[in-house]
Amino acid sequence: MNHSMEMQTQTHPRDETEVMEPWAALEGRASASPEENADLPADDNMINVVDIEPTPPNGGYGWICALAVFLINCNTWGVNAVRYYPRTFVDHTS
Amino acid sequence: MAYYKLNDTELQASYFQYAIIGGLSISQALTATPVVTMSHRKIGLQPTMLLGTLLIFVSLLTSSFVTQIWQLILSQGMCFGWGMGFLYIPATAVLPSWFSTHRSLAVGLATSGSGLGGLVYSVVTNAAIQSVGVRWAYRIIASTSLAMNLLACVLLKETGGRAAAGPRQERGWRLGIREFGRIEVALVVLWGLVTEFGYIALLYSLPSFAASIGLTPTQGSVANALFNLGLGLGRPVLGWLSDKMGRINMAMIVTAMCAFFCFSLWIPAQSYGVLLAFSVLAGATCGTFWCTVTPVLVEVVGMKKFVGTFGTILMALVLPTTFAEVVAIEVARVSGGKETNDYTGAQIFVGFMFLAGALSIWLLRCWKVWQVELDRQGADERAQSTTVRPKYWVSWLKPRFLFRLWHV
Repeated sequence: MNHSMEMQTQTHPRDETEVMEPWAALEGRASASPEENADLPADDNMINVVDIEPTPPNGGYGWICALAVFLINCNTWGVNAVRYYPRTFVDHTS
Repeated sequence: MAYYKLNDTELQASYFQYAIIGGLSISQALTATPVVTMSHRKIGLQPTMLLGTLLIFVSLLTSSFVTQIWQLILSQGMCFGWGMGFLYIPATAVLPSWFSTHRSLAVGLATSGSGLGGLVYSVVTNAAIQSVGVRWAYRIIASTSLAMNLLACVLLKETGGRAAAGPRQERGWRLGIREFGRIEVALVVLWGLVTEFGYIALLYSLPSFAASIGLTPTQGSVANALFNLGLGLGRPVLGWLSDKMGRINMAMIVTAMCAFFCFSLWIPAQSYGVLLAFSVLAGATCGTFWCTVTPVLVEVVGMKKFVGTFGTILMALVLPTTFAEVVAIEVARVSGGKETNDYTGAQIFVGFMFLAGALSIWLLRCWKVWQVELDRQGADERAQSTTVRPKYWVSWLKPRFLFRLWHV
């Protein structure tokens, strides 16, 4: 019984997060938000997984968001860039 | 805006004033960062972006009615800049949180909008000015950008877990001056600074350079169009490669490539063909900072602190971008004390700026390699080193870290 509890603490996910993010160890842990806890099994080891950064969706609606940011870039930086076209005048005193 | 100078006699102003407008819009976008971040936190993503859309629309619309240069400075400089800030900054900050392995590709695709948008808008504006005049051209741009920005505001959402603003998330969002004390953030700022100078100088000098080597204005505008095309096409490719080969790796390689192209293709360019080749290649490689800064920053500070650090870096870039165009004018046109057609000074300046940028990224990569090695050494080593933290500022600057071929 004691042995199995020791095994659990040795493979504690918290250690793995400390290895991956050394600066996070100094900053402290984020509080677990209810949404992230909802899908996880109620297990001692798994509760601390929410302290790691939440897994990004990596696709799906994200591509629509990329399209939205594309449009924004078109209209902000694109319109900004129109200023540079075309500098056919060379002498600014005319 | 350049057309006002050509066509409207009542809007004569010096080069300096026009350059300030350009610098002002970008720098105001960056200055708006603290306000924008606060607004994002307090009133949410979509109201912030809607405010930006409104500001841009108002700015372009009022630009069509101006009669004095100071009005143009206000409308197209400041108002547009703030609108750009309200739109661009939250959007850019939100996008990386949607991706993990495809992050660079998505950001590359998104930032290619600036190149493709610049291309399309310049062609459209040209045609519009020829047919209906400058003022109506402004109104056309105002309405099309309004429509597209509204669409973008509707489409963009934050990832679910991040939307709940807890106290820790707010802390990650805070713009911290202490961030600059961290050497890796300082390196990113340095990289951004020098590549911004290079980028704006390049952007500015390329059109007039075509005229200086004897090409017609049409050929000059084709070179420009190719430059923007390079921007538009190069960034997704860069993003995809970054995901495969490492984000900091690719940022370094591409910045160095841009410097290489400046020195090898631009300086000896005396003919149309070479200039076109340079335009495309330079377009593909010079906009590296804006394309890769967000994934690189996530690599450097982690997703949690990304928003705050991104804001801090943008604020650090305010002053350089305000004056970058003025610097570009001075370097490009006033070589040897008087106006000349000799662009060698500008070319060397741009080349060295990108070289300096590549060097800073190389050092950043070295830091990251050190970090990764530190992580790989495992928890037991860290438990042993209880007394002394490695000296933060220079212990990572070792040759074995500089030259290690890792996927960072």
